[in-house]
Amino acid sequence: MAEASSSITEKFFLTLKSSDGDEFVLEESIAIQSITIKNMVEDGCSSSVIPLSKVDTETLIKVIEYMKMHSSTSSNEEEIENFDKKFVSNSINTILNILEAANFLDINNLLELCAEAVANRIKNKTPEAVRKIFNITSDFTPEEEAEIRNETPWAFEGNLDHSLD
Amino acid sequence: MSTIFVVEENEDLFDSLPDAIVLTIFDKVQDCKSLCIFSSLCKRFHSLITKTQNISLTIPPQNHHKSNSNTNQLFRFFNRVFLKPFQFLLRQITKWNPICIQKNDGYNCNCTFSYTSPAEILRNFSEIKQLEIRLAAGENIGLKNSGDSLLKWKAEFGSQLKHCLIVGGTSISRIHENQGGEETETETENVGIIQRGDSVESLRMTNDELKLRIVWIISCLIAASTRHCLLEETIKEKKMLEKVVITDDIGQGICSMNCEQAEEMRRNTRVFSSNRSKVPALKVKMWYVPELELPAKGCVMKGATLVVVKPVEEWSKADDGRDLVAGGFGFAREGKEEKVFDEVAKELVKLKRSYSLEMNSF
Repeated sequence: MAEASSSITEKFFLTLKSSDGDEFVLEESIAIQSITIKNMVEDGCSSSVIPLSKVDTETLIKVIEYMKMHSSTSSNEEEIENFDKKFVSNSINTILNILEAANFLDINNLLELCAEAVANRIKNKTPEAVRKIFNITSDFTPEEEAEIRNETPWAFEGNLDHSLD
Repeated sequence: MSTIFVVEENEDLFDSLPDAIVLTIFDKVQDCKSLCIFSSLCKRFHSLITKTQNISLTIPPQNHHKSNSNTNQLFRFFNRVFLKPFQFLLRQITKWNPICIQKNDGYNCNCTFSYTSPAEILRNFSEIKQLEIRLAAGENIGLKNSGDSLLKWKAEFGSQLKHCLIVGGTSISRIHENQGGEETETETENVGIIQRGDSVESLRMTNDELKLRIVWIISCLIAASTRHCLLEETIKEKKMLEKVVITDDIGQGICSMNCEQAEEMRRNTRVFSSNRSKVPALKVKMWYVPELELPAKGCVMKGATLVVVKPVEEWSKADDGRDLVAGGFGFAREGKEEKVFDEVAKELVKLKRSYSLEMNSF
């Protein structure tokens, strides 16, 4: 393996398998942005298919798109910036799936990007809006909830965003 | 077995996320108000919120009945000690640096009742490492006037003032686009435009100008030490703090403390009088030109002034304040405007002539 990665001209490819059973062939130099995959390669587990049991096909496609754009061989800064902007406009479900995948695959940039995207969507929202966006059901009793709100009444005042975007 | 379709209509989207990721999101949210709202949503959030390490907080101007008396008291004190000899300047500082004076009201360390105490607001956050507090400017104060932002300061504190950097001017205007930008408009020609050399007599500061600068310095120091005092309780309670910054809506002043400085503040006994910390005996170094041209920025600043303030014992022979100037302001939301002030500071510090003065503790 060490020999292989020191070669400049030759390209190595890895096969990633999603939880849905779909296989994706990807250049090794791109895939090792994922520390998890990088470790596997270094441990010599990359000769066969790498199963990613926690990542579904839809999510894996997005993650691969991201890694391709961010790999050192391609694209200038402006392109990357525009790509990222578009990338975070995916639906919140998709972003959360990617976030989870980024955590599992250990791709720090992607994790930061998605966490920021989620944060921006829930900042300054009313409690009702945040609940709806994420389907969060309260496990407090109404009394408990009222008490918590009472601890920081100022947080519930002023201009809050009702929209669900 | 497709995970795509497992996401059902009413599934809590956060359920599948590990705590570490939820915390990463909370740290990105930063905003204390939003975090408190999340805290009321479910038990998991309620307990996770307390572990958020990165928090920003906006403190609204307080319209409490107590505040007026505080302001008056301060004004009276101010008046008696500093301003009696030059009453007319009082209007100047109100105009120049309203946030110093206005901000004093209500931000009383001893106040135990109100939500404007950051310690009270932050009570639930036990693991804060990075804290940013913004003092919101009240709409009634009219802080948005462009003239108000001609004074910028940056102060660092431990248990008392470490140093303060002030840059200001009396006016700023754009240079008309000339070839090379060397010449300025005719009306200013008789003022004596000097960019770098400082050998000309007209560069000397007049008495009135000096008085105005002193008022600036005092206003900034009072504003800074008020902010310092505002932090007292928070610093004592949050032992994990690595960086604290208090700034304001208009980016006028920034007051900061790092890990060691916070530790120093915890160790030392309180040095606060009323609603601000005591300012130690100071040595002040000041650079000044009547008019400073900044071709790169396309503007001219009149009465450009740079001030470095440190406690007498903090000055050493080798240190002439230049290192501090080189550091710049570093406002969190650094805009074009802040860069102008950085630039002014860098130009002024090149001047050979500087003014020194000493101030007693107040």
